[in-house]
Amino acid sequence: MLKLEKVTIRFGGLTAVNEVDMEVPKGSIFGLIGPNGAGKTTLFNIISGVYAPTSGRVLFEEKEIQGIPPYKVNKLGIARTYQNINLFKQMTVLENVMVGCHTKTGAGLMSSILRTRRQRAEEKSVREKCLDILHFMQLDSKIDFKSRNLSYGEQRRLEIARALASEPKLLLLDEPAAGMNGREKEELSETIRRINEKGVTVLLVEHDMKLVMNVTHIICVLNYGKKIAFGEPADIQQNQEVIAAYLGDTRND
Amino acid sequence: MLNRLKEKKGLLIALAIITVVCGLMLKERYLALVLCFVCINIIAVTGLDILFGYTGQVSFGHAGYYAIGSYTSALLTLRLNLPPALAVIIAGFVSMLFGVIIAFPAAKLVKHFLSLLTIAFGQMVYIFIAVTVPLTNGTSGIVGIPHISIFGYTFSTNQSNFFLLLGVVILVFIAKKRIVDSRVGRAFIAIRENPHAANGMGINVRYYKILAFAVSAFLTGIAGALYAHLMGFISPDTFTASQSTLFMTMLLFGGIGSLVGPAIGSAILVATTELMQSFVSYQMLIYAIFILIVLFYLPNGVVGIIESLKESSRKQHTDKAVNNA
Amino acid sequence: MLVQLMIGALMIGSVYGLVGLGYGMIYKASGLMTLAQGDMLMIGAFLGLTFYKYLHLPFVVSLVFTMIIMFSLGLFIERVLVTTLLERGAQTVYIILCTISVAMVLQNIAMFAWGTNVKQFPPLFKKTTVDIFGYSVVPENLLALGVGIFCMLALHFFMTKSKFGTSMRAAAQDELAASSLGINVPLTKGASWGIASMLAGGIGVVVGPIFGVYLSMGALIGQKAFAGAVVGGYGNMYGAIVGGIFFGFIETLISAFVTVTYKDFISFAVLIIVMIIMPTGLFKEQVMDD
Repeated sequence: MLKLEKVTIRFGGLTAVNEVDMEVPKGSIFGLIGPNGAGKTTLFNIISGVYAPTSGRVLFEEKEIQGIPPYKVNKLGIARTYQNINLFKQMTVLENVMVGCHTKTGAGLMSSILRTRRQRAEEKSVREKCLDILHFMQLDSKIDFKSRNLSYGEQRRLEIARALASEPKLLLLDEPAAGMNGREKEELSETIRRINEKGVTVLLVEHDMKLVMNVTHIICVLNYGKKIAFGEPADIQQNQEVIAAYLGDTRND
Repeated sequence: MLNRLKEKKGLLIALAIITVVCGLMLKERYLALVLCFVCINIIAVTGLDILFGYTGQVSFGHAGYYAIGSYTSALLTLRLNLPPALAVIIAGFVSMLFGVIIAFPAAKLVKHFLSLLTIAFGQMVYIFIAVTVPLTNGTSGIVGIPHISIFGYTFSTNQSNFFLLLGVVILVFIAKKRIVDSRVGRAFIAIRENPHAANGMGINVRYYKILAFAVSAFLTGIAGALYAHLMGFISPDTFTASQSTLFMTMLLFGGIGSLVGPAIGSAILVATTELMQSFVSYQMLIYAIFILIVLFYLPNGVVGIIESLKESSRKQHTDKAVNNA
Repeated sequence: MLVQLMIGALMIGSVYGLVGLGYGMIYKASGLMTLAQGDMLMIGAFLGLTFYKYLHLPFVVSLVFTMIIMFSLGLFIERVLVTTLLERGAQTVYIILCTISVAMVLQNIAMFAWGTNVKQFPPLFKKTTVDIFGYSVVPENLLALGVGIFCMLALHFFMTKSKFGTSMRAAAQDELAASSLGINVPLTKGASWGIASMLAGGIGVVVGPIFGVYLSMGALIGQKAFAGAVVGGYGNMYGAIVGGIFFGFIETLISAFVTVTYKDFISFAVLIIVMIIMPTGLFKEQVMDD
């Protein structure tokens, strides 16, 4: 479904991502791991259109998408969450999710001012859909809270809810478990599985090895911007190069 | 349904208050004029609020749109003999056109430079109307602008004009409320809150920034046009950079990103200006003090105070409930 | 004719450049923007006039006194108003508004203190024109140009050679690193506001004899200096001067050969066009919202 071909990006002299080839099969939960500074988030930013790669191609459903702006990527069916939470802080929880529906709706300025029948129907269905999603993400008791007043874990869940509102075919989760406690992490694994069961392909960047090994079907390991391993969780755990990379990482820390 | 009811309730309360105050004020010709000024400023400041309060784009050049609206409407009625009511609407669209032109580069700039760009725009409009004598009659201004008439009724007294302007204000409020509560409004606020995330959620940030400029310029242009037909006389003095600052002060004093903020800000600042008529030389100082009060003591405006009062009373409420349990 | 024009353009250009340099310094040091430079210039001119005309001090002494007062005023604005606002988490727009209100207060004070009429400096020189290579030039213009060049050079050496200047540049580059090296970062920020207003005030004193001294004398100069600073690449000291001179020439040439009426209109149009086609200015500084 998503295919990267020799994707490279350089910032000045630094090569952050170096000739990465990767294919995310439809319907999978795909893990992208690697030590700090391995280029995972950069790769995410390339897929979601924040950066254009210096060279290489990104194919989504056989279509080249590298270099097109984020809002168009979202429209194609790729939604994402952010490592450093990027919610609309002054908006309520419900409104945040409603913003997520932007590409699935079409009301413009005039129809909003005139409150046309179509606009009202659309508003109503958006609201219902968002309430469903919030229920699914177990945030239904918080719908009228300003998003900045949520707990850290709730904010992470809201980010996922907002991404789901655009009905993505591919969901990019950037360290969704960061800052969560053990129980929240378990619930998160469950949530990711349930999202996947709905037919959404999930691409997951995560530091928490237990969660990644537990939830993903396939894993790709990056180190210094290069792909060093690729395979099923069990194989990755045995891979010498991966272990070395992580040990190196701990030594550096 | 509940929402609609709430909207109506707020509107009714506002109407009730306005009717009482205005009933008292309308007896006096002069006080009625003050009310008219308040209405015009509400419309202009509401325009600025859509741009700055909701979309987070600053403008220190809104006097430019105000001027474009004023002069367009005045010239259309005097030179082309268009009916004033039609001229006002066309003036709004002309102002909107300029808003879009400015928005194209503006939508890419960060705050400081956006401030500068809008200042430069305001200055250009001001200089243009002040020096282009054949078109605008220069610094002497344009006289004899006719009053607005609809269906044969001419709004020639201050009192009747007030009702006309009040009608426009109500329409503007309804439109603003509807925009804010719609997909478009959510896109505006999302851009203000976090442009990167808005982009990631499928919002074409540039398009909505330009749209906000267009709506904003339209409203402020309409306000300018209404001003021209109310006063019958316009001159460049009204459209200086201080007017832009004054709009900004009204908005910040009342509170950004709310329906009533611009109304409160306009009412208080217009009232102060009128009360201080005899101290005209202190006017700048008074405005400066207003700005400093906002900056140091009222960062969220009067609306901010009301909100925080509400919040603390709600908190007390819940605290009590917890204690009782 | 052309030579006089060029001297005039250089003179007004360096005026814009030096006032604009203040914007650049403030932006570089604190990432903020002031809109009070024009009125600083006006206040400086009135102070200079007071020292020179009413207190009968020599011109140079008047200039120095004015600059000292203006430096303290700039320092005061940063240390007392701006810092307090920033501590309360104010947005950058609020700082801009704060400087606008400072400008309004300054205007009002000037109005009470000196009135609304245009005040003339008594002539600084005995001759009304001097001959340079056979061209007659107004000596006040030369003085302004001279003071302008002197200030630029002095500032250049201050920033590159003196210890405090180096600290200021270091703090502008990387606050954290600078403060860990023992540089007093708040002081360098305050100093940049001080120097900015000192420059504007000093320039006010030298242009006063040329244009006369009046309340709104700073408004247009301040805005065009700003335009110059943007065209030169906002936050770049040398760029501000180049940009200022650029606008000095544009304006002089337009009023000489095209139209006097629309010269300011065209200057602002040029600014807007530059911002559209070259938003980073001549000397690249970041202005875009990535």
